[in-house]
Amino acid sequence: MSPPKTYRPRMALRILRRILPREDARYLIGDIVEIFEEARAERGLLYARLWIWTQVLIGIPRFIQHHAYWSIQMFRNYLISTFRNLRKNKLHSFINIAGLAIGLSCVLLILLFVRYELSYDSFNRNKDRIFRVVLDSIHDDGPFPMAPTMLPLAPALRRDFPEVEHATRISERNSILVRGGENRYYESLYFADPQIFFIFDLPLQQGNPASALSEPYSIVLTNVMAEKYFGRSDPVGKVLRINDLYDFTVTGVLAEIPQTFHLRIKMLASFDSLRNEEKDRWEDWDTFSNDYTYILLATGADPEELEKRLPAFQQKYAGADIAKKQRLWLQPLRDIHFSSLNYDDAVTYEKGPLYAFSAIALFIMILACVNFMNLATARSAGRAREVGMRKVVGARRTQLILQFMTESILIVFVAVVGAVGLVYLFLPRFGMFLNRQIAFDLLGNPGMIVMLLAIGLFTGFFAGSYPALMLSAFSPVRTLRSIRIQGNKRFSFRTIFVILQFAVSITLIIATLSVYQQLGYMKSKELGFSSSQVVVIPLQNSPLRKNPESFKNAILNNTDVLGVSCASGTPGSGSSHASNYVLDTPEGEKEIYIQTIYTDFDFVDTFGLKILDGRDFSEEFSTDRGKTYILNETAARQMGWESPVGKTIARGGENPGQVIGVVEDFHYYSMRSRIRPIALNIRPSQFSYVSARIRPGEASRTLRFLEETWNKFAPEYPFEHFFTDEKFDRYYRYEQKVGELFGLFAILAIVISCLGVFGLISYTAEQSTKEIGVRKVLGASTAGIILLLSKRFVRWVLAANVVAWPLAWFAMNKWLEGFAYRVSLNPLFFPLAGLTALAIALATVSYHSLKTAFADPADSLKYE
Amino acid sequence: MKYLTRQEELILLAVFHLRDNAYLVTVRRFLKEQTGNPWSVGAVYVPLERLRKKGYLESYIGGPNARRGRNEIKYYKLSRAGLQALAERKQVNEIMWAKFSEVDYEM
Repeated sequence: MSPPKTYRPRMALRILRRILPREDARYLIGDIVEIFEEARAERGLLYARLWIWTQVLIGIPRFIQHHAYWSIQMFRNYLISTFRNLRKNKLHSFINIAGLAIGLSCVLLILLFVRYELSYDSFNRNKDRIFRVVLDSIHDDGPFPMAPTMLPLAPALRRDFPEVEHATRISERNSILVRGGENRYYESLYFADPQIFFIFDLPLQQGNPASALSEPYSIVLTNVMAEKYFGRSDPVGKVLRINDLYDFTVTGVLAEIPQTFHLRIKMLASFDSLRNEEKDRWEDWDTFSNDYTYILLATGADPEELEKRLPAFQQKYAGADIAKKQRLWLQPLRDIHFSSLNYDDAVTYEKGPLYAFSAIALFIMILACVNFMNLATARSAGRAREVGMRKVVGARRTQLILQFMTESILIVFVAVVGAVGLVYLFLPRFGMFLNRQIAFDLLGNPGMIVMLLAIGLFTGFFAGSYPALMLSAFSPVRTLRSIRIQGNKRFSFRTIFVILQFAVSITLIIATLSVYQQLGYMKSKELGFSSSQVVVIPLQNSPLRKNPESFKNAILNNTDVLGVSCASGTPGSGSSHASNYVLDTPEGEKEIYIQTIYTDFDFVDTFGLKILDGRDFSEEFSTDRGKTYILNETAARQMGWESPVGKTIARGGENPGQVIGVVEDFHYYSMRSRIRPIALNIRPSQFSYVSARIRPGEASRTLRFLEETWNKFAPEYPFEHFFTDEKFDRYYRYEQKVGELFGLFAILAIVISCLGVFGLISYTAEQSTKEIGVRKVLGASTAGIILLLSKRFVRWVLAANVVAWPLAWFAMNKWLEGFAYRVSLNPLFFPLAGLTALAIALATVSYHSLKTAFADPADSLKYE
Repeated sequence: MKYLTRQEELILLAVFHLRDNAYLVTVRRFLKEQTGNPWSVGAVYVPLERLRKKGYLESYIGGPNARRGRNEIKYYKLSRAGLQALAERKQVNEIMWAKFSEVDYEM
């Protein structure tokens, strides 16, 4: 008789099968089925079902309680054994965790920096609809892209295109004298149309965005500026005097504008205020100054569609001739920070370094994680016995895997927490170093948390996978009897990794040395004039500009002032006027571009220029007042005469004059650029700087005297000054930063490589304890054993040099090519970097090799 | 020796009475019939296993019957120690119960 096809409470049975005690489940299920059938026969199906589900409901909480209890018990046990292992190898654990933490914190810092740069302008709600209108100036040799556009553009765009919701002009003017009450400073001012508040999300604290900039001579300040000029009193309605000409009324106050705005706006005045000064250009479609045009497109409007209609638009306003040589286009807001247009005032940054930094971050992370895994693996080899013991007392393999995974993930998270701590600690310094206010708000940043968790889980998982999968697979007998796990492969993944790490370290050491060599060269190279103790006072637009001689004579009365010269530019001032000179040469008439410095009679003396040929300017010659020139060597050479003294040259073809002397070349700009041809000419109307050579050792007293004298002559204008040598040093600040950064990365790379070596040597030493024991018993010397353990590492470092040298040579030559005046790569740096790496590697190895070599062979052999 | 609990005593006795057919279902049914109260599965299984671990019971696996599908049966039988424990229990009980009479006791 076949059993009747009856109803079985499948679902309930399936649940019960899971929650019943595992070893008896199959019998108990049978028992329950039997009871179920019995109950059904006696009291009906409904009762039976009720009964079996009651069993399930009673069982589940019990089951969970039971499991939770034992999970916690086991977890506690894993924690204890983790902690014991960490404590047993204090040094090892510290190096391991600290290494990963340092690596991760570097990665985090770099990522924060990259994210900061990428977040430029993203605070604007309408960021996807904002564009800057820029243009390509079409030349014979291709388009020349420029950021500034003409003044009538924005109003015309507003008029002609309904999809242009708002358009504004924004102009920056530098070195504007601003006076509010007793306070006067030079500031950079922005001018904009009122629409700026509808395009960008500028945080207007006080004032009406619709009207704040609608009247001419109205101005909006950031609260920092408001406090600078008006202290704590309400600035709205107060007056700022600009360039001693115009009174601007404060109509609003801005809260702090996010640092990630591509314009550094501190003071924002209405654009109509410029109408008077710019009346020539107001309707001119062919001239550019630093005026920029921004538009906000209507939602859904297609920028490409608009761009296609721009040529016709331009033809309508500017005429066909101008439209032919200019092509307007729209630059999306998100591209502005990374653009490289000409004459751009925006805060820009290159994408290249960001990619480089991201690559370095990724590289450091991989190195740090792989090192962590290496070290963790090396350490776990010594735990085979623990695994054996656990197996003997009944641990299942899944439990062992779980244990090692838990342990490794736990340790990784200790390192992650450490890394976050380090980031908080170093972020202010890092921000200062990069000149940026980078914020780190972990809790407000779920993406970052997810990333950290992912890194932690990933690293922990892989670091734990070797001990978890390998060790747990061995039979307890084997692990208890001997700890030899596996033979060393000759050329493993790990070996390649260590070689790579050292190659990077060596490259970075060479790079750092070369950068500092070039830096030292630039700082110490003869500039061709005596730069020390020369104070330069810019005249700006003070009344002294018209009459600097009186000021010059006044300060010459002081015995601490050794010489004074007025000029249109000084070395380091950056100002230049290049013009074309026409000259008659044996080969015929020739035209060359020469930078003219307009000076007085004392320029050559004050700056200590060396006359090579001819004579200095002298008051005895009446022609020297404007009709004679002194050339630098480069100019003389370019002219092609054997001796240019006595020859006639004509600036702009119109001012013929005689060359009376040639001075030795001197550096007017930084060493990045080659010395250009320069001509000195006396012309007092062009003076913008007064330079004073002062007596060494009395600088602060003399400076006070200079300021007092200045205040007598131009009390309305702030006294500003710079030292020429400091200005030149400042040219190399960027190189200084590059040097520091390379140094930092070099140190980091070395630390990380050392960790890698440390992991490997401890692994090797652990593995070959017995081999070394046998060797010692057979009479090997300590020195011999140290050699045995170290020689592989020597080989690896040597291999790293083979990779690193050509790389460093190529990269550094490329970098040096950026300098007109440069050192040649010092070949000594290469072996030096290699030896440094080798020494550090051997020092790292020495701890373990000495420990192993001096160990009593009895200790290592007694387990046999 | 340790005293058996009342529950353990009843279960050992049930196993004794059921002879070759002592397993969870039959023990539970027997106890219910004899005591008149329902016994939960857990109240039978847990002491059965405890007694087995203490050494009073032994278990062996038997083939399934028609009612329970393909699930095998875990049978229990008294071990020597179990039998001895019951015997001792009976002795103690008899001494304690001797001369017991509801009628004689003055309230």
